[in-house]
Amino acid sequence: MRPLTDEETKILFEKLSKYIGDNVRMLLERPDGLYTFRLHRERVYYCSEAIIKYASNFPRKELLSFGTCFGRFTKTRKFRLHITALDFIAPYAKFKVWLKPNAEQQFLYGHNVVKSGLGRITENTPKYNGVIVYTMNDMPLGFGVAAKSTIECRAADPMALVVFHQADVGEFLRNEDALT
Amino acid sequence: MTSNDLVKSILQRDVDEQDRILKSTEVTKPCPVDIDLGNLLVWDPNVVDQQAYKENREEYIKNTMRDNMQLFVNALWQVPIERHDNAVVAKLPDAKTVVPREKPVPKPKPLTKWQKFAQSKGIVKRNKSKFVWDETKQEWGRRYGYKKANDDTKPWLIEVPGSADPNEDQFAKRLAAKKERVAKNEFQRLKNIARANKINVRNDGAIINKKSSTNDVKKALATAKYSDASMGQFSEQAAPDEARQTRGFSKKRKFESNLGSLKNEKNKQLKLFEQMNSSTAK
Repeated sequence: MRPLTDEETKILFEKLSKYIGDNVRMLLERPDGLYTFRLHRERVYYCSEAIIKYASNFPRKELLSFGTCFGRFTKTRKFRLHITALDFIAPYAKFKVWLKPNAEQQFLYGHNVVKSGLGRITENTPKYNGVIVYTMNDMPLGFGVAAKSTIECRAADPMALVVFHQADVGEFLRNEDALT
Repeated sequence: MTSNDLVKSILQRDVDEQDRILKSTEVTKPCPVDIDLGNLLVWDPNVVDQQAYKENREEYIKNTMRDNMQLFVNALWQVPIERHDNAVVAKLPDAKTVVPREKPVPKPKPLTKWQKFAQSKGIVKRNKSKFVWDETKQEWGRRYGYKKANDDTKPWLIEVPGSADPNEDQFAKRLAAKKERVAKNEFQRLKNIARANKINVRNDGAIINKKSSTNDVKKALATAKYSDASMGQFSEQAAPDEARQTRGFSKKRKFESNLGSLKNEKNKQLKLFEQMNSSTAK
């Protein structure tokens, strides 16, 4: 377990700000305690000070996980955001996408979202920006990347892709072992 | 003449005089100016008027400059002129003034092994044609290079010679031979370079009598340091400022302490975030 280096922190923040923009600050400055990021086996964990102190008592090989895993760094130092971060990202989301009930299942199986499944989308979503995917009942389903900006979405034909799938809550069943 | 008319005529006279000076392309100078059109150079040997210079330096310089430019442009229009698509082009004569060399004279390169041999035997290079006739394709192809004519490695059929092992892959054999030739050529090229730069290279490529640079020594020191069982933790310092000297060369990375002040960490991360945003905002 170790704190992130400056480059790693930068890469992490860049990825997070794609989804929540400036609200990354909220993750760092919390009124209910000091929360921070730690790196363990190339995975980034978000946890409170107390948890870190407990977790540091375990040998590295035996420590599986602590706090919340946000994602992991790949071999070439790119950051991949995991679905386990949804609980923290969803409240601060800047750009949201709401899915119709029939499209929900497709998304939860890991497919991209088609225009016909799109319920609502926030205004002025830039193209290729990170979005949080919700059901019509405002329940977060996962992350995505806007394949088209809001304006383009309106003009698109029903079979065109509007959101690229990044992570969804169905992964808790499909990729249990990969998540820690 | 009424006073009004008088004033008008005086003003008109002044305006005409100004016009005349502005539009005049005549310049008289006590000493003729030397114009070198080839170098776009005007060499003015006239003595500087000290008083005028002291009075108003900028004005004096501007005037002399203007006069010399005028003479230069006059000379430019004397030269033969061509017109290419609405552009008027003047053909400048050769430069008169000799300008010194910008870079030093290039040193003669040492001869390669072949060049020395050819010189000693009196072999003269004969320029071969770029294209040769390819009998099978019935067309002209390059002598060497991409899709060359008569390419040895690309036949559709190779007869197995009587003496060869019937299970041997003749195609692979030809390709291997080609690779061998290319590698040999590359090797000899590198040997020529080493000989030219007076670097002693051994058969396996190692350099003999190599004078290590300071960076090499630092790297060697850092490597030696962490090569023992405790990764150099308990070794003595080789020099007083060794840590500073070998900063970029040691293998073990340094991280912040895990249980250090979390508040400081938070502040550092916030600052980093601000920096990131400000730079992207630009």
